[in-house]
Parts: sequence; structure tokens; C-alpha cells
Amino acid sequence: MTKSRLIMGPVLFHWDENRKRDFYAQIADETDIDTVHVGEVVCAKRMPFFDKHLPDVIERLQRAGKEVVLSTLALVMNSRESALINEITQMPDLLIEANDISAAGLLADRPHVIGPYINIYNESTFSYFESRAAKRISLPWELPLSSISQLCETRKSAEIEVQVFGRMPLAISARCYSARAQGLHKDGCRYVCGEQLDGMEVATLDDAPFLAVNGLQTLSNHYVELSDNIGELQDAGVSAFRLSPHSLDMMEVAQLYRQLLDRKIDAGELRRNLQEMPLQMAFSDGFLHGLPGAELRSTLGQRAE
Amino acid sequence: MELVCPAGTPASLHAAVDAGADVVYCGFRDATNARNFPGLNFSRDELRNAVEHAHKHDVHVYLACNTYPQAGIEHIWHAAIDDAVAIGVDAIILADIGLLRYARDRHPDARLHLSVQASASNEEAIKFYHREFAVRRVVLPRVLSLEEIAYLNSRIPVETEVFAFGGMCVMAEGRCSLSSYATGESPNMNGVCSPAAHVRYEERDDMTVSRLGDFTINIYDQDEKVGYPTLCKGRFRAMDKSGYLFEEPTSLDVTGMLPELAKAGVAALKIEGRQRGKAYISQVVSAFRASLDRIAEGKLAEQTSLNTLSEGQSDTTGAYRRGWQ
Amino acid sequence: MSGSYPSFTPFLLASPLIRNAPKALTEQICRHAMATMHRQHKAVFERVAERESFALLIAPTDLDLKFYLKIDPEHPELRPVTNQTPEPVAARIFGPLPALLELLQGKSDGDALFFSRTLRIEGRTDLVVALRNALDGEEIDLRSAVSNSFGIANPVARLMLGLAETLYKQLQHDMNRTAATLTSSIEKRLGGLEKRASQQTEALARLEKSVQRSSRRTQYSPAVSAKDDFALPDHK
Repeated sequence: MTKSRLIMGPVLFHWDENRKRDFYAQIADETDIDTVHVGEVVCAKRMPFFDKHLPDVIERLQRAGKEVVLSTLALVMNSRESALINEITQMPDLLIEANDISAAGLLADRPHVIGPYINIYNESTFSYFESRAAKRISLPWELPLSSISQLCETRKSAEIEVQVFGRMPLAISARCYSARAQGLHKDGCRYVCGEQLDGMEVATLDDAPFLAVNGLQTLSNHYVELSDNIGELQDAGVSAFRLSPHSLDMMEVAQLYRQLLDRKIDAGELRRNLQEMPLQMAFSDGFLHGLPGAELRSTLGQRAE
Repeated sequence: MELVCPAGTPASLHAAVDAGADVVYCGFRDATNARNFPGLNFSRDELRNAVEHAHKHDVHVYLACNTYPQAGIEHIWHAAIDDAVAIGVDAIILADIGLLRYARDRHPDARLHLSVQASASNEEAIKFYHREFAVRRVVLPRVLSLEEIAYLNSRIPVETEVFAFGGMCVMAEGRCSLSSYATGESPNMNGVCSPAAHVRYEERDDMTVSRLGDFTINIYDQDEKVGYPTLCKGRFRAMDKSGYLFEEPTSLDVTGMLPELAKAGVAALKIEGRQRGKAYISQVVSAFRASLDRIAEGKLAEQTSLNTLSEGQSDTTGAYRRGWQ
Repeated sequence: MSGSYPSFTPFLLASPLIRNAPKALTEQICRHAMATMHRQHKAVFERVAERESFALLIAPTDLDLKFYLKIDPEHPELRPVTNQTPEPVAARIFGPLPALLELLQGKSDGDALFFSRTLRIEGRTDLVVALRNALDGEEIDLRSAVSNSFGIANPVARLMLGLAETLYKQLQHDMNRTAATLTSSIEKRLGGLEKRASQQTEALARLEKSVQRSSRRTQYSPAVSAKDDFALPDHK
């Protein structure tokens, strides 16, 4: 079996520039991470804040031997954003992740990554992107293991990637809910989405944790955690595993998953270590098992229910 | 502008034809379409009769085959496309790239439309679908403003169709897993959003609680007008406040901006609601027919009164006005 | 429990009559109605019970009587139920009889009725939705069905039914007015239900008039906005 690739996904949240620079500096020094995504996925309005640091960050990560992927917007809604996508996809010598069909079309026939925001549910669609030179395909969060296995069987050349840790993006909108929650419109948002490092907690009226809002994006409140099924995913043919960055020590999280991928620790030990970290997280793995995405089947020592 | 109307049953299709639809769109009775609701949709025979009836009245029929085939069972979707072509529908509405490729290869003469579920919200994306699969029309996602639609129309080689009336997604269509997060069933995979099988109503003191799966979607008193508990139209708590965080239970109605949409170069108006009854179809289609006829005569559209047919009974122009964002 | 308050419709007046009718007669009428329905609209049963057979409790809120409805492609069943013999059902539908009958004939939009909360559903909502969808897919004319099925000389029967309908509408109108004067003192829910039922019947008339009402855009329901901390002022 080839060595599994451990990937640090793009930072989905509007962290301030210092926090982001520190984050990437740490990754450069962290041997357990093979690939790291940079770039803004959620909101074009955030891009000017970090764009000026990107060249340095990319250079430093590459120097440290990391494969760097530039992620692009998940929702492209106007001529300005369209122009941005055109510009980014013309950058040479950089692996780019398409998260909207616009970028996928522009990247066709040169090596690129198809991100999890692109709808790939079946063999035909998978093969299409493979035929257009997608080097790696990151599958949508909603896919059950049965579909993932089918796609692995179809696979000819592209690596298959699955997110194994972090809140799951569930929806994206033209409307900014972080702004709306504070009585603001998107046009005058004051970047309030930056106030919460892991997204704004959304609960039901009965106070059950439910969702997390990140500007235009709505994420799950639960953190997907697939350690208990990583062996099955590896056996099926998944070779790349994505961690989605959160405010806890992601280097420690990466070390844990690296050890699990290399079968040095088991899922129970990984889960126990995660739970001791200073961030309150409820886990879920429902999508993988064809259940509601909020559910957790692999309770790993805890009692179900 | 062409008036494209929904039909969940043959009776609704007849109602739409009678009320003045230019086109009726419908789906087969399985997971191949995005309104896979119990008791709804067409068998092969029903569609054959429907097409015959519609064509007799110079009305076109589009088949929606706009869910994403699940791995391993793509043949169900392929059969839907083959049968629709054989029956003689006037266009097939698709979202999945694998299916678009199949339809293009197998039926090069078939007219293909891109479903809103493909969420093609920009020039490059639309050009991609045109270039790769020769789609002739794109149903625009409900995230674009009027200005953006007008600009797009000046830049793309295909027709655009926009939503004019009915339930409104606040999220980009085809990019939303909220429903499956709570229920395990999603628009993309199962053709349903917030499916009725997972809806429960509970009485709590003087209040009614609507739940979807394990989650409370709304709590309201007896006098309050509320809609079906679609997840994104519920009340939630955030930042120590509570209310309609994503969207109030409103319904889209563009009657007031029909002349602007025509000017923006929109080719067709779509009425949402294949799950609604034939009474709804008759009323909404007649009202839009009248408005469009008045515009054709050079008169501005008068305000119609369709409020009681709307969810939560108030309406909005949604993302078409930028203030909505 | 939502079935405990009666709706203020003319059927309420007939309720004692119906309650005191011999059980055998009600049962016979139900059986006959279902047999006719099954014969003339078999497609409904096939459409709705495609996935499973099931039973519903239909509870008109203006009748002192509930009905057990079994949906089965081959052996459907409709009969009155008494509170003494509760039977397991998949769902219960509550609503004034006029609304239920409109629904049966596809004259009202099920979703609209439901949005305005004239009808209330408990239990398996999906099955009720399936039934509504299937009923809506048929052209059901209750008037001709009734007159045909009872074998009365057709023209006469139609005339009688027409008269009865006119009478009913007049009665409904009067009762609406009575209800309007009473609601201030009676149970809020009673008035609310009736108010919405009559709003529903006025919808078509309003549509035809197509009145330019600029106030519509501003008349936001205060009940809603009061409970929505997220509403933005210039949202429209």
C-alpha cells in the first residue's frame, strides 16, 4: 500500500493575518503534513487581507517540501469574482483546486485538484474530471462509503481524497448570515465573520447545537471524525485524507491522524486524545454510513444515544 | 418571455395547459427528479399521454431529470433520459455532468437545459456547460441579482430561465446538504429537501413545535402563519438572539419586476411547485399569463394577489434585489 | 390536542343530527362512498399506496364524529369511529369539513391550506402528503359523485344539491359574522381557525379582482417580526 497523503485543507474561517501566518509557519515545520491548501474559499471580500502574504507563505511551504494547493472560491457570483477565477487559474507552476465549475473548466487539461464543493456523486462524473487531467479529486462530504468504494473502483489515475476531521460545509449562499445575525447587510458587513474562530454557533430553539455559520457558508456544528473508518477507506482506495483547520492545535491533530494512517495508534486512542484538547467538539460520521450527517455511529467506547 | 409551469400530476399538467402555460415541466415517479415526493410525478404512460395532450395545445413539455445519480445505479437515470427522448419531450433538464455527457453522446439532437441544481452562477460556468455539452438554456440559481443577470445575458451564448414564483432556496441550489445533515435525504441524492417523512409536529402547551429529524425547526403559537418546516426557513438561536437566521418563511414573487426581467434578456420564467396542487397551478399560471400578456401589449404588470398561496404568506423578490444579501 | 375545539361552520349545527344518526346508516353511507370512490378513482389508491398500505384518522373539527380511512389498492375502507375503539393509525388529520372536502376535490391547494394552518396533521406527515398529491391528481367532482352514486334522478338531485350549496354558503356567511362578534370573548383558537378558513374561500375572489394594493408590501405580520431578531429593516 502506498503511503497515505495527509492534507491540511484551506482555512475556511476569516482568521486575522497574523494568526494565519503563524498557522502556515507551523505547518512548514511539521513533518506529518504532506499537502497544504492556501487561498480563500468562502468570501471574495476577505481576499485582500491575506493576498499580500500569499507569495511568501507559498514559497516558505514549498521550501519546506510541502505540496501547496491554491484553493478557489466555492461560489462565484459576479463579473469581478469571475475575473478573479480567470486570473488565478492562469497562474503557472501552482496546483489549483477548483471549487466551482467555472474554475474546473478553466483548469481542464492541466494537472489540478477538484475540490469537495464540486458535485461528484457517480462514476461517469468522476471519470469526466479524471479525463480532464484532475490529479486529485476531493469527494463531497455527503457521500456514503458505498459510493466512495464505487468511485475508487472506477478510478484510473486521480488520487481520491476524503475529509476526515473538522466541521463540514453544508451550504453556501449569496447572503451573509454572520452579518445578518448582527443586523448588517453583506455590503456593510464590517467583517464580523472574523469574530468567531470556528464559526458562529447556531442552536435550535430547544438549545440543541445544530449548525455553525461562517459568513456565506453554513457548516455542521458537529465535527466530522472518521478515524474509526480510516482503515476501510484506505482499503477501498482512498489515498488522501483532509483535515479542516480549526482553532485548536492542528499540528497535534495532524500528528494523531498521521499515526493512525500509519497504523501506529488506533481510532480509540485518537478519539480520546481529541477529546482532551481544549475545544468543545461533538463528533459525527453519519454521512459515511448513509445516516443523517449529524449522527455518530462510531461512538468508540462511549455508549450510543 | 416563455412561461414554464410545474406539474406533479397529469391533472396539474392539464390545469397548467388550460391556464395558459407555454411549457410544462415534470418528472418521472422515481429518484431521478428533484421533487421525488410520495404520490407525485409521472409514469412512462402518463408522460406519453401528457406530451400528446400538451402538444395538441401547442404547449411544450420538459422533463426534469435533475438529481445526481448515485454511484452504481446510474442506469436508472440513463433509462429516464432514453425514455423521455423516445416519448418526445421538448427538452430535458439535467444537472449532473456524467448525465449531461451521456445525453449528449446518446442523443445528439436532444435539447438539453441546465437545471438550477447545477448552480451555474457565472459566465465561465455557463460557458463550460455550453462548450462541453451544448446546453441550450441555463436555469439560473436564485443567488443572482437583476444586474448580474442582465450582465450575464450579454456575455453568454445560451438562453436563461429564472424563477418567478414559489418556494425559494436561500442557499445555492445543488450545493446544499442541510437536509441530509438532519434527515439523511438530500435534494442532490434523493430529490427531496426536508422530506415529509421526517417532519413531526408536537403540541407543547399553547405552542406547536415542528421538528425535522432530531431537530426543532420552529416553535409558534396558534395565530402565527408559518410554512412547511424546510430547514433553512426555520427559527434558530445565534448570538443570544433567536429568529429566522437564514430566511423568513417567504415565497418568491417577481410579478412587480417582470418588465425589468424582460429587459435583462431573460428568455423564460419558471414557476416553482411540482408538489403543489392543481388549484395552485391554475391560479398562479393564470395570473402570470395575464401579466405577461399585459406586458406584451405594452402595459405594465398589475400587482396580482397570490399571497394565500405563498409559504408563510408573505412574498419577496429574493436575491434579485441586492438588498436581500 | 388539536381536535378538541370545534370549527365554527354550518356542519356544527348538523352535528347533533349526525351524532344521533343510527350507526348502521352512517356506516352504510361511508361504505357506499368508498366503494364508489374506489370504482371511479382507482388510480388514487394505486398512486398513494404504491409504497405501503396505511390507515388515517380523519377528524372534522366541526363534526362530532371521526372517520377511519384505510388506504389500500384493493381493499380500501372508510367508516366512522367512536372514541371507545381507538385504532392504530399512521396519521391524524384535523380540520373543518369544508376544507377537507375541498381538499378531496382538489379545489384548494393542500399546501396553502396547510400553510394557513386550516388543516393540522399529526403522525406520518409524508403519508398525508402522498394522499393529498394522489387526490389532486384526479378530477373528483363530489357533487356528481354523490348524485350518481345514490341513483337519484340526476337533474333533480343536482338542483337540490345546488340549492343546498347556496343555503350552505349563506349559512356560512352568517356564521362568519356571528363568529366575528363572538371571537373577542370566545377561545382565541376557535376564532382563528374560522377566520383562516373564510380567508381561504375569499382568496379566489380577491385574485379575480386583482386589486392593486400597495399596502400589501408593507403589512408585515407583527407577530412574526416580533419573534425574529434577525429581520433587517430594508430587507425587501
